[in-house]
Amino acid sequence: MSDQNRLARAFVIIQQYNKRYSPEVGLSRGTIFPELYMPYLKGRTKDE
Amino acid sequence: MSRNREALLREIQEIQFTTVELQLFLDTHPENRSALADYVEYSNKLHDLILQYSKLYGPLIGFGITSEELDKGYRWINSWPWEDLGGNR
Repeated sequence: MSDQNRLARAFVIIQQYNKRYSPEVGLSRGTIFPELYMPYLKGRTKDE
Repeated sequence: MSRNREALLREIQEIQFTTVELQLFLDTHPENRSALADYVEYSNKLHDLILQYSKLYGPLIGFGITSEELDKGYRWINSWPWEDLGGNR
């Protein structure tokens, strides 16, 4: 490894406590935090 | 399994999931009073629901239940919580 190369660094913002899903919706979506709900939907977004 | 029993079991699952999520959030945000208050609220609600279910349909957990429950004997061998879940759904 050359001296110019650097190790990877992760920058992750701290999660804020804002909105939550209801327990019912949370269980079905696998998270109670809307900002963490990122389903894999081929060719679509979660808002569609 | 009766409708009511299934609905109560479902509600316990939902409340328990939210409680676990709040617990995980608090792992990284131990100072967050708002999240802590919600955690305590859901934790208490979960306890109440489990107790309510136990009184109506038998124990959900093998220990940590009230002596009133234990007085009825080892009822958990009669009907497991997951019994009757298959087939008729």
